[in-house]
Amino acid sequence: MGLFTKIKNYITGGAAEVGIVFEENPTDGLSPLRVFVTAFANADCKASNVYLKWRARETYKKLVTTTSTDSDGNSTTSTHSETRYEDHYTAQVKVAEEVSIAKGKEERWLVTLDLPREAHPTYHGKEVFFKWEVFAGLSMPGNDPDSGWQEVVIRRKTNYQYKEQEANGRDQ
Amino acid sequence: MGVINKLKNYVTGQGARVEMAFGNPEINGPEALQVTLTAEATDDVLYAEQVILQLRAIERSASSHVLYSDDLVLDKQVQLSPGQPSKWEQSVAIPPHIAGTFVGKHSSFHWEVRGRLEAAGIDPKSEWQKFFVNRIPTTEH
Repeated sequence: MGLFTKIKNYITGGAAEVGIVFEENPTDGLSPLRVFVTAFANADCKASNVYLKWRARETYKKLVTTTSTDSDGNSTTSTHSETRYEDHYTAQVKVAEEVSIAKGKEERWLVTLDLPREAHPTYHGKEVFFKWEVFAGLSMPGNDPDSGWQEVVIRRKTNYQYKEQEANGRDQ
Repeated sequence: MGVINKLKNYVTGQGARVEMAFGNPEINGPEALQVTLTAEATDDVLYAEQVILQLRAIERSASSHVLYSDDLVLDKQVQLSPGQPSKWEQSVAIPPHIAGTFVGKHSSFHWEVRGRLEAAGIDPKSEWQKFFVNRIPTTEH
């Protein structure tokens, strides 16, 4: 491998292609989630570890008001909506340590994740989303080769309890 | 409803109290919502063209988006008198292709109903009232 290629892989994380395959997607999330992590080496790879992260993320819109003042001291207020995120749940596991993959070879690992039973199932709305996502990466010098966040759809029954005081009006 | 009655509703602004009660405020799976709608004229006799139950599923964050709505006509040509409440019972099917309730930290998706009397000039109605749909969600809207 030439020096230029090494530098390019260092910057882009292009030394390996990391993928995620869910054994079941959609799933009810009640039984452990089995995830296969694959890494195909574009160059000889040495990773200190292979890791897997997962999260449950609420995406929503929030109204934001900004006030600016010009040189004459006149204030202008404007309101716009911004996309915001809040993670309800995050976790990370180490899948393997001290991994070497020769150029052109592929390695696979099976990971079993336990999702919290009380967590929301997936919701896909117009502006609101609640997604479960998984991310795998090889810990290497420079940018880690990674899979990006991949969604697994959790389809299961919710269990909201009716409360009189919350049932009326515009509250959430 | 005659012209005189319509005019009377307009002129006097007479109204009615419209209230709702749920038999099962938590819907599980394919169950239907059981609603009892009660309406009673508050001042004088009220003539309503229709008694309507409105159903909607609404997503809220910075703004609100109604992702599903439907009007169910429970009755037509109704006359309500003070002190004599009228009652309607209705079973409301929840469309299976729409998601169940979602309540996040900053956003929500709720199912709601309200009762409305279509009376010329006033349209008395109840508040929107939430109920919970607990079932396997769908990603289709």
